Amino acid sequence: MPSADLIEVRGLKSFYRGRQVLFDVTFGIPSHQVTVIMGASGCGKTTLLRHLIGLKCTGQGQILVDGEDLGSFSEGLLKSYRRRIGVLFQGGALFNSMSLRENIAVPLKVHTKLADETIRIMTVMKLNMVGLSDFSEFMPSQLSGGMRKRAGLARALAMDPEILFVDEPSSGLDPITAAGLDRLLLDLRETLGMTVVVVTHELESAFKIADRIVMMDKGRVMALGAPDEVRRSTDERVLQFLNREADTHMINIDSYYESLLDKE
Amino acid sequence: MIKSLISCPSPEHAVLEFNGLFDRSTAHKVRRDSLKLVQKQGSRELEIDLTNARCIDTSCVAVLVEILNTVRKQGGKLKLTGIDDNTARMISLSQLDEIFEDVIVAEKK
Ligand SMILES: Nc1ncnc2c1ncn2[C@@H]1O[C@H](COP(=O)(O)OP(=O)(O)O)[C@@H](O)[C@H]1O
Ligand SMILES: [Mg+2]
Repeated sequence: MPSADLIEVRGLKSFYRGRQVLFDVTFGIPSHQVTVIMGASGCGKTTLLRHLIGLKCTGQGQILVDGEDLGSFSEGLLKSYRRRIGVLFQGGALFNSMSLRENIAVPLKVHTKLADETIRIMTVMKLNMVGLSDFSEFMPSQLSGGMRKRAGLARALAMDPEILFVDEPSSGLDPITAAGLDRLLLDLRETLGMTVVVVTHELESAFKIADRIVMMDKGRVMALGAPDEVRRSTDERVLQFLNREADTHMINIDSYYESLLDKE
Repeated sequence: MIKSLISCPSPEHAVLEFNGLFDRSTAHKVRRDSLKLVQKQGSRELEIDLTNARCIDTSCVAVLVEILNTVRKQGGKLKLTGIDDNTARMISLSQLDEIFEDVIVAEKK
């Protein structure tokens, strides 16, 4: 039966050296929408992402891409799947010996026969999308953490992926930059019809950008659905998670710092 | 696959029409055919008609930018017709609307 979901995760169990970290994870990733995988640190979000992009295979269950089992993909099929996806890892991971522009050009140089000038213009376009076009000749070491993260996103976008995976895009970013990043992810969905999968532990951002939320707890899916559905959940663990996060958001950072300074 | 067709409605005006899929696997052909004609046209007008081309990714926008740059450098005039919504959106997401403002012609005459 054809499914509306581009990717379907069915009963996924995952292990690190025998220790189970994902337990029967089941959910779908709809095309042309933003799916947010959220949950506290250590609950298995990055591990799940590694499964989704075909990097981690030691597990049980299935991940279906267009109805086909990713686990049974030949090397060739896996390669062509990887060409359809763009990934921004938690660490960002840019080549330190290359300028931003060169970093973003790498996938295009490796995977396409485009003319140098076409590649140059494409990389500048991508840097522009993430607000870094003035920094194309900078080296990663000359940039702030937030800028490196945005550069990583530009690189993930280099090949115009059909599916974009991003792991904790706004952690360590100031609120304005983080909001800009959220906006960009929505633009990519709206403008280019991209399928976007975001891993985050940040509640506010998750509810702002998600069409579908997969809320995880200790390796299990504890809530699944549209943001409104998840918010209306009566599950105690879900409520606890939502409220705990809300509490930490109540802290007023400015007055907190002020109170620290007063002690001087 | 993409095919190109050149016509010259008047001595001052050449039209280059593309037919097919315009993506990163065909961008080099669009680029090569266009730049060849750009050189030939010099300061005369060149129209690129994309009514029957489907632009899939940003390589197509990048090629159009290079064509435009080259045309402007030699004092010519470029007109783009038949740009689809998807391409227009890619142009605006990369904040290139201004550059293409006087170039994109909504209706093919
Ligand atoms: N490479 C690894 N080897 C062994 N254990 C790991 C490895 N990566 C993650 N883990 C463990 O798996 C669990 C889930 O981790 P992770 O997927 O990184 O969570 P999250 O991204 O939600 O913070 C954690 O208990 C973590 O310690
Ligand atoms: Mg993680």
